[in-house]
Amino acid sequence: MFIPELATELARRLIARQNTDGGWPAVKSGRSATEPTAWAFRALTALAPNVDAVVIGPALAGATKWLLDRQKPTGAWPVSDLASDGGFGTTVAGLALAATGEETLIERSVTGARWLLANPGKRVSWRTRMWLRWNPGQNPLEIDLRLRGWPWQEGMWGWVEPTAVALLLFRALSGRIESDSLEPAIADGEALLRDRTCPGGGWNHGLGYSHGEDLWPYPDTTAFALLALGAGGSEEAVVQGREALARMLDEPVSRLTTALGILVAEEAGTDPGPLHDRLVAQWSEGFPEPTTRAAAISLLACSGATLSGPGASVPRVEETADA
Amino acid sequence: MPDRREFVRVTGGATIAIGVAGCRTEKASAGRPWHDEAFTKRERSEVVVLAADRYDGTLPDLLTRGLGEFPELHVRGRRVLLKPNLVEVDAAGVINTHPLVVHAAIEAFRRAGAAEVVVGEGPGHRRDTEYLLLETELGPVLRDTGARFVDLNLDDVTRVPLLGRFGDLGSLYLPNTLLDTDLLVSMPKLKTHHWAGVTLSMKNMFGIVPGSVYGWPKNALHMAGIGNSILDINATLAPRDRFAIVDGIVGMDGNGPIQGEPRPAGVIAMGRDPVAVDATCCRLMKIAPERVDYLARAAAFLGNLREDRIDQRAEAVQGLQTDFRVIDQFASLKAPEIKEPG
Repeated sequence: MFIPELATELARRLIARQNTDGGWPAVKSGRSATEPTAWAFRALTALAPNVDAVVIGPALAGATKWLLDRQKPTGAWPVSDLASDGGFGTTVAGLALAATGEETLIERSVTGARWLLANPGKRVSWRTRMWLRWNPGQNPLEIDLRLRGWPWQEGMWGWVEPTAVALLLFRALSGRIESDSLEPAIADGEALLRDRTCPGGGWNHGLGYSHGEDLWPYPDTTAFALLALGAGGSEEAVVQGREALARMLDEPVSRLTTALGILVAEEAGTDPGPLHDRLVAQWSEGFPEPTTRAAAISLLACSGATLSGPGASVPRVEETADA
Repeated sequence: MPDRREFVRVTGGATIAIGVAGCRTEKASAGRPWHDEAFTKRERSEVVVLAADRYDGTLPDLLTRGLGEFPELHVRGRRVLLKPNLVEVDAAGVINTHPLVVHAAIEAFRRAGAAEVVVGEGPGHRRDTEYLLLETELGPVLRDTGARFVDLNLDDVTRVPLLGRFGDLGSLYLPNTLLDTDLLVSMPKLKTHHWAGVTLSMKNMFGIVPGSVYGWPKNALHMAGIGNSILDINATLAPRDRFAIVDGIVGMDGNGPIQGEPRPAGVIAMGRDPVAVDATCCRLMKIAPERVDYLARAAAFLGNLREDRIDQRAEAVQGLQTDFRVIDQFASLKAPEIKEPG
């Protein structure tokens, strides 16, 4: 569902927050960083068919240049100019570029995805794996330790949100990467999400149980996992996840959570109900200062777009030189 | 058939948990894992303990009185960063530093002449900080006071070499708001912790480590060993002007820091030496501070743990002690009668 007034307002806010280097900060007045730039770029790209190119074109051109300039020769993106490490920024930047439909940008996305395929989550040590082989059923976390998923930070354990976004990226690039490397990765990521559900449904960051206690689900991680697994699916993890998210959305929530709830409902083919009105009302509040991520995902939600669907054409790389 | 909790306790299955969740077993380091020249431990430290049995409008005056006990703490004209413990949605009001304590601290530092009082936190569990602000009543406090809030998970960062070498992190990215502040005030909740034993002003500093770099939860700190990371972060902050205000009006015992039980303790503790403040809080919880591994190690170079090195002001600890329960794994922290070494 397209809500033109809110979409226009959020696009205006995002463009006003864009730094002169073409990137976006995570919060107002910060330095540009990969993840917020990628989300803002994705949201404005999705909106582009509905607005005047004169307004949005320069912002997209600047963002394109920023993202392409920061990609490392390895294919990874750093967190920001201030933090050189690779990791989750690669996942989101890859997704944003893949969704443009622009061949040169998709090629960059493929490079990033290849880096991710070569850098999944940390593997559990062979000693632990051996111990578990000889002690089946003795895993106190009740998780499948063979699954790796994708981490926030290079070289660390896989977690729900980075794994979910990686899955969206890999699916967006289906047919562009050899299936013998892509399909096992997708299978691993999906299996990790199914394995890490919370009792009663939904997802925490990465475990449903830890140190003697069940963990409760979070709305944002649950929404990302649902979108990655196909929010309209009928498998148990998805059905329970939808129910858990619906319960969480019954309570007062943030703008980001409302927006993700809309994206999940639309992906599932269900009526978002009052969520659109809630999102409009929440954005009319001035407090607290929103993150760029919340603004961008809200823009996607009120543009009738998806996190990873194809977007409008954006200025070619050559055309960005003077931006 | 043991249940899952029993299984973990009996079999030491925590070893696997540590491997997966990334918490390394602590190892004693050969030599001193800190730079001697970077630390000058004071002979004595002052800690103020104030009786406070409820969260109400008297707290600003109480904290103002407490701050008055530290005339050497220069506040006027300085930028103050309050770092509360904002962890989770907290319907019972026992997980997070109570918003009224944060409100009182904002008022107290403003009365003391601070140029600006900023509230900053980088939650390790919830990535969506707006959700936490709205769900925990800290949001309305910020709105009412007009205090600026900085999500330390999303702040601009600078890579800083660590002044401790307990873990193998070597360096950490830290938020620029923290690095630019004149006075850092740690404002934890008085709680037991299922991995560290207790979580107080030193452990509260995990919230300054940016999630934008390290993710949620902040697994790099667990990988390096929780105690090691507490020590390395606090060692690195040691050259900075620091203060602590501990919300112990209602604390949490048992399986803290999230799933424990409310424990009314009726205290606020304040001080400049985080080791002395945390050691005093342990005594208030009837926990032997020298048995808390990271505190005992911190006492070697960061601050004073021994009772005879701490000048107690305002209320006496003995009259305000509350018996906080700990999980079985930390039963050794409790002593029938706490005795000081030496």
